[in-house]
Amino acid sequence: MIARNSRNRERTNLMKNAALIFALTLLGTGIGVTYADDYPEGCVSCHVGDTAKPAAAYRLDLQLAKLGHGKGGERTEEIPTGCYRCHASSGEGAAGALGPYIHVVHFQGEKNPFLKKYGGDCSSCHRMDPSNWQAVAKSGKRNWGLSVGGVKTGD
Amino acid sequence: MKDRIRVLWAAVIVSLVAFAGIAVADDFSEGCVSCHVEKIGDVDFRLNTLLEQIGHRKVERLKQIPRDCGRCHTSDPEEEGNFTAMIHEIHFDVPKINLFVNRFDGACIHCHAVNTETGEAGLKNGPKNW
Repeated sequence: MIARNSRNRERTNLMKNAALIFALTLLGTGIGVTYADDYPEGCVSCHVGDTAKPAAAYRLDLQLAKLGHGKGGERTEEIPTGCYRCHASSGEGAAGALGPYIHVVHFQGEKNPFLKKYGGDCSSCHRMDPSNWQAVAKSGKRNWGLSVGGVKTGD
Repeated sequence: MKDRIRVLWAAVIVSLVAFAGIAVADDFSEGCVSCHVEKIGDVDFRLNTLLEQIGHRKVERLKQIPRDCGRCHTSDPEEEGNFTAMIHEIHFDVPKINLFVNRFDGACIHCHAVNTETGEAGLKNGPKNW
C-alpha cells in the first residue's frame, strides 16, 4: 500500500514536470515571437561576429571583403540605408537592387540558417512604420571601424 | 526510473515539435482567404461579409483575392489611403488588442511570400471563398 502510494506520487510529480517543460517552452516561444525585438537595428544587430563561422552572424564588412566587394561597403555608415546609394530599391542604381538579393541570401535553401535558426522572421530585418503603414528595413550604424590594408584607421 | 525518462523525453519532443510548427508551417498558403473563412466560432469572418458590414460595395465579381482588389485600390505608397497602408493599419494598429498581432504573431508570411529564386517579395493570392 505504502509502495503503491509512493509510486503514484512519483508518477504525479513526473506528469507535473513534463507539463511544466511543455508550458514553459510554449510560453518562451510565444513571448519571443510576439513581443521581443532582439534585432532592433536589423543587419548590424545580427551580423556581429568577427569569425567566419557561424556565417549567419559574420560581420558584414568581413563578409563583403571575402566576397570581393568594393571598399564602398566598408565606408558606408548606416546599414543598410547607406547601401542604397549604389543598390537602389528601384534597380536603377550603379548596382542591383539590394532587397531581392538579400531575400535570396536569407531564404534560399532548406538549410538556410535564417530559416532554420531564425524562423525566416521578416521582423528581424523589417519593421512597420506607423506614420504611413509601410514596411521598411530596420537600420543601424555600422559595427566596424575603417581600415587600410587591414590596419584600423578610424571609426 | 524508465517511466520518468520516457515521460521527460516525450515532453521534450512534443515541445520541439510545437516550436518547429511555429517556425516553418504555412497554415495560410493563400493569404487573405486562408484566414478569413466562414466559420471562426460562430463568426462569419469572410471578407465579403466583413466588407458588407462596413458598407463596402459588392465584391461578388472579384475572383482572386487580394489581386483583384487592385482594380480599384492603388498600392502606390505615395497615395493617401493606399491599399497597402490600409491593410497594414488594420492588422498592426493598437498592437495590444490587435488580433493579428496577438493571436497570429503579426507574422508577415501569413499574407506575403518570398520568391526564393528572384528574391522578390509579394502577396499570396487565392480564389474568393464566397
